[in-house]
Parts: sequence; C-alpha cells; structure tokens
Amino acid sequence: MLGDNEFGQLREAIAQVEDPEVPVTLKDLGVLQSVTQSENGVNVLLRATKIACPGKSRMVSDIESVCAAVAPEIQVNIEWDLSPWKPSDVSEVGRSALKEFGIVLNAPAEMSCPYCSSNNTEMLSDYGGSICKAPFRCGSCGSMFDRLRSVESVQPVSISQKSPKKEW
Amino acid sequence: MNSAAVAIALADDLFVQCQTLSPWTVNYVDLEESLAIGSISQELLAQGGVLYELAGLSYEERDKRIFQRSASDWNIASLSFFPSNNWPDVVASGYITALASKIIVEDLKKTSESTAEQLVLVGREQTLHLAHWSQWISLLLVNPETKGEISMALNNAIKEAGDLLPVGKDYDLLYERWAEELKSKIAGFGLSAVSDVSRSSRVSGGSKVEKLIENLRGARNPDGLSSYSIY
Repeated sequence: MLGDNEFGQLREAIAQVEDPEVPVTLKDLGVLQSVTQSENGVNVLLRATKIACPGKSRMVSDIESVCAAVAPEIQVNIEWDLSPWKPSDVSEVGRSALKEFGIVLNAPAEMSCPYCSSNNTEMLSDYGGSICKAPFRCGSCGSMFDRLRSVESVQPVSISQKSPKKEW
Repeated sequence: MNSAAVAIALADDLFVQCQTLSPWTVNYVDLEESLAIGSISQELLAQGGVLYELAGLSYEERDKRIFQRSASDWNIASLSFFPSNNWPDVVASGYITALASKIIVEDLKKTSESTAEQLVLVGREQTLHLAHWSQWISLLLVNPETKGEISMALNNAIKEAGDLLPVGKDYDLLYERWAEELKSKIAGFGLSAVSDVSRSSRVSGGSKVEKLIENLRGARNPDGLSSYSIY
C-alpha cells in the first residue's frame, strides 16, 4: 500500500484528469466518484454521464497513465458504477467551466442561455452531436448551445416541423 | 424464464437492433435524424451491455455470446429481421420494440430490487426512444403520401411482434398488458384497422440468423482482432 503522502499525490493526480471532450476534470464533472486504497491496490470508482458514453475507455487509459507516472508500482483497479449520474453531481467549478464551453445543466423547462442569460430558448432536438448533449438555440442572442443530457427529465421535443418525404 | 434469462434475451435483441439501425446514421433521412439514430444506436448497445452485466455475464462471456455462439443458439425476436432499408419500416419496428423493451425493463425492475436503480437508466432511455418513434409515426401519418406507407409498416411489424415478450405462464399478464397497451397506442394514432398482436414463440437459428451474425462479426477479422480502429 502507498503511504499517506504518496496516496495523496496519486489522488490529486487522478483528480486533475479531464473529460476527453470537454475541458473539465472528471472530478468536477461528477464522473470521478471515489479513490480509495486497499491491499489490492488503488480503487477508482467512476460514473459515466451516460451509460453509452464512448469516452469511457479513454478516461480509463488517461487515469491509468497518470497513476503509472505517479506510482508505477501500484495496481490500479478502475470500476464503473452503473447508478444514474445526475447534474447535481457536477461541482460549481464544473458548472462554470461547462457554461464557458456553451454547455448547461438546467432542466429544459428552466433553461437559460449561457451567453446572454435569456430564458427565450428553444430545444431543437432530444439528440445532439454527441450522445450526452441536446442542442438548444437562444431566441434573444441567436447562440447555439448544448444541454448535458441526463435521464432525470425525459421531455421529448416535437419533430413535427420536419417535412415528410415520399422517397426514402 | 427467470429474470436473468429475460434480461439476456432483451440484451440480445437490443444488440441486434443497434446493428440494424446504425446504417441510418449515414443513409439518413436528414442530418438531425442521423444524429438521433447515432445516439439511439449507441444507447441500445450500452443498454444491452448493462442488461448482460446485471444478469451476471462477465466481459468474456458477453464477448463469446456475440462472437462465438453458433447460429442455432441464437434465439432473437422476429422483428430483428424486419426490413431495415425503408424508413417507415424502421420507424414502425423501432416504435414496437421500444414499447416492448420499456415494458420488459419495468417488469425486471419489480423482480430485481438490487438492480432497480440501474434499470431506471435503461427504462428512461427507452421512454425517450419510444417518444422519438411515436413522433415520427404521427408525422408520417399527417402526410397523405406517407400515411399508407407507415400504416402498412405498422400492420406488418405488429404481425411479427408476437415473440417480443418473454415466454411462460409467469409472463402471461405482462403479455396481455403489452398487447393492450400496443392496441391502445395504435388506436391513439387513429389506426383502428391495424391487426392485433398475436403471441408466438421464437425460432432458433436459420439462414436469416446466419446472415445476421455474419454481418455482426464483420467487426472482427479471422484472428479475433478488431477490423476497425477509432483512435
């Protein structure tokens, strides 16, 4: 087992690992749930924002890399917790960093534009450019932004504005 | 069927559905739908993974199940072989399978208290998939040019849907609930002339399964290594 000092350094290094897509640490994003130590090595528990998150293997390899740099001799056991991730898992630092990147966490009914704070927003689709995002448009400043999707509130958007086609 | 067997059967169906749906990410109706299909397909794949895991299958067991099992051991739903190259058919089968999956997951939650929280994720995603397909049905019904196509697609898909629910007396009530809900929802679309669902048993193996798993296994080369790399 690692000494307190070395384990502290390792925890700090793991806490600095960022999400592969958004410049926010996994800790601030609420993905990094815990780092503990046992006779079997260091145990890292992660919870993905979406169970289908395609960045999971990258997150694991990034954590393994920092662990190898800080404590190359220690066994690192990384597990995924299948409990639902919630927007409330994100820290204030994480919320602020996401907002700067044009990503908000609000429920669709309480949405405000991350750029001009207007409530005049429109959800464009239930699904966006990546699996964890749903696209919005601000009716005041015209900006496009994303909501980080969670399973807490399912509020489908009408697609009735689409034009049906005869030929598929 | 015990709850683990039900979870594994549903996982198999979701895995296959993901594979048959995913070509629409490039053969798309429109860009937004392409993105939606990409997300729905990924979610189906992950839901299958969660169900396998909750049923106690290790990573190696899951891998063997998909890549090494013989065709005669595959026992997937008939709708897995429903035409997937015509958009109204995709919408119809997507809607019916999402409704069945949602009902099965809700039932699994009742019988598996220890995994209920994880199944919430799967159930809520299926609810959103169901809403997505439902909106497409409504949209296609509005236009006189597409109304006939989606009506026929739903009628044909319902004829193939009788084996989506688990078999056995323990699931009689669940089947009745599913059939009633499907009938009610179809009537809600204003389609009273569509057939009722008729319960049936799954058929193992066959040339359709052989073709399907040949396509699925194209992701690996003969040495068992991935044929594709992302990074």
